[in-house]
Amino acid sequence: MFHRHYRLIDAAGAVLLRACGVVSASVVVLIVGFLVWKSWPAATDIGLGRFLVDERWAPTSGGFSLVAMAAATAAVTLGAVALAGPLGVASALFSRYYAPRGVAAVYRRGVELLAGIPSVVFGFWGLVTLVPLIAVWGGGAGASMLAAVLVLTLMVLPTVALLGESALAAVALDQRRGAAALGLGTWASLWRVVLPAAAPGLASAVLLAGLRAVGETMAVLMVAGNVVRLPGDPLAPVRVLTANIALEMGYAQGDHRLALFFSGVVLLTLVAGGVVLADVLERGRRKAVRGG
Amino acid sequence: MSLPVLNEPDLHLVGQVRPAPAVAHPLLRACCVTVSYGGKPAVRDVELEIAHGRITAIIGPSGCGKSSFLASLNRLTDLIGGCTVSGAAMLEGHDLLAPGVDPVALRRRVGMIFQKPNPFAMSIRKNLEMPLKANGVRGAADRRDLAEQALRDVGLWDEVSGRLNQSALRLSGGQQQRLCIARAVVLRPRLLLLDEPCSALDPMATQRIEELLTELRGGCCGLDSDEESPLTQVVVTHNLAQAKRIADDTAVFWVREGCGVMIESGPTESVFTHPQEEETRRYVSGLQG
Ligand SMILES: Nc1ncnc2c1ncn2[C@@H]1O[C@H](COP(=O)(O)OP(=O)(O)O)[C@@H](O)[C@H]1O
Ligand SMILES: [Mg+2]
Repeated sequence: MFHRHYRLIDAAGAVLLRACGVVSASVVVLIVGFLVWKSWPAATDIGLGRFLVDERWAPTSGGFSLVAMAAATAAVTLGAVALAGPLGVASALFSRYYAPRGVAAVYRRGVELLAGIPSVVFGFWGLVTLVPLIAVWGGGAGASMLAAVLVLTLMVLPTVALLGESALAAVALDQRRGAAALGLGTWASLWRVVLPAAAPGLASAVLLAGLRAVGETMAVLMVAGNVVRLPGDPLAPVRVLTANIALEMGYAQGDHRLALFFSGVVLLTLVAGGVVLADVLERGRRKAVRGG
Repeated sequence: MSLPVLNEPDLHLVGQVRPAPAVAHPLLRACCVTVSYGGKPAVRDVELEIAHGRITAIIGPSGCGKSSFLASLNRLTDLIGGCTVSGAAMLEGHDLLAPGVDPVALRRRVGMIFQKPNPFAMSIRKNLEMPLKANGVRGAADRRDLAEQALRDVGLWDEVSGRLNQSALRLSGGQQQRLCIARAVVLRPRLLLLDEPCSALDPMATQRIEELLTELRGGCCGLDSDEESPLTQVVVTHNLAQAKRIADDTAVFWVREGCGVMIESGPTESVFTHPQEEETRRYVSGLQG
């Protein structure tokens, strides 16, 4: 009787969990399907080659090049990751190994808070503080690739810091004791033992930060200046793919609309590639831990 | 740096084990050592001499402060929040517990092996070469030779020489523990502390380690010298038979009035056959039971 009761709960639970799994998986499939379905005619009506070879982005007069904006997305993302990666790892090392206990707790709360700030607030801060500063300092309008990189850096920093810290925490205590017992000081232990052991975890933290940077629209839109051009001069404005969609979707018609859907597919492909890479890294980490 | 002459791989193992020196002078003398956690003493007022070139076993029930005492001898207790150590531990004339002592430099002279083998998540070769590098051995060739010598010293060379670049985590538990011992002795410590080094190993691996420790007592090569010099060891063990097999001296720890104390120490033979304390007598008679 008793057992039957539990078996029933077990079965119901399994069904429920499976249903949840099916729902979330199908939402993903539906979104991807929708995007592909909506942008499919882009291949036939516009032709995929033109997204690459057209001279410029002028969708109302037949220019469909996504190159400048895709390059801007890549440049801004790489810039932000290049800054936030080392800073975030340093911040994780600090709060885990150097900060006194009380300071570390306050510091961690601060980082968590930073993670919770809505992106529009970052954008707003960038617009009223950072952009004028860059304008004074570097000349020009201020709204620029540099502004976008700096705002994005701040936004993804908590991702690296928090995930990085758990990667460091996963390095077993006995490894650190072992390093200490061999006459390695704090810095040598960190550099030679803890960081190598945590490397795959740190790499996936940085990668996830990059994924977040790729998808970030609002803050970048507010500070990047949004002129479609190849990235180069950090003080010049750029337009990233996400910002482009947000800016033009409201009025786009016909082929223009198709092109925007297609740029969504490009973004999705970028992010999916990142997720696959993260998965490979995660496997590497588990293998390192198991000793495979 | 001059390099040690490489031995034939197995000479070490089949070679005669040198006896421990009969008249022993102390390498380390603990005076009134107390280890406390959050102000509450875990082990109090330990007075113990560790004889040069001999193996000293520390035995006693769980929770009597054996590990705490051991860790205080290379200041690993410094790494535990809330842990304080008082008293003095004179190693070759200097109090290693004194505030001015650099614990990092100390730990190179006083190595430690743990219950759970803890090779680093890197290749076998790097496990040995990295600590050498971190301790200032500049030449890559020197590091490679010392690493090979260390592997021969622990009898691991024949087993792993073909896969030095594989992850050390793929070795068996016993091999991992021998690698950890190699990694420690290659720095040529004056004293090696071992906290239940065989508790996680099977009987065969245990026997290997016991043989190894007795050989190392006779002498091992390493950094800074061509000469073999004896390696003094302190082994915490739950295995009384093991203490009898390998230890020249034995110290018995016990819990009295809620706190760990050392109740007696002396040559292993006399501690086991003529214990002075009632607790020791009952504890070692567990041997027959
Ligand atoms: N990190 C620690 N924090 C607080 N108390 C500890 C810690 N480590 C050990 N103790 C306490 O100190 C006492 C002795 O422990 P330990 O030295 O590990 O004994 P043994 O190795 O003889 O089993 C135990 O009562 C234990 O609870
Ligand atoms: Mg213990």
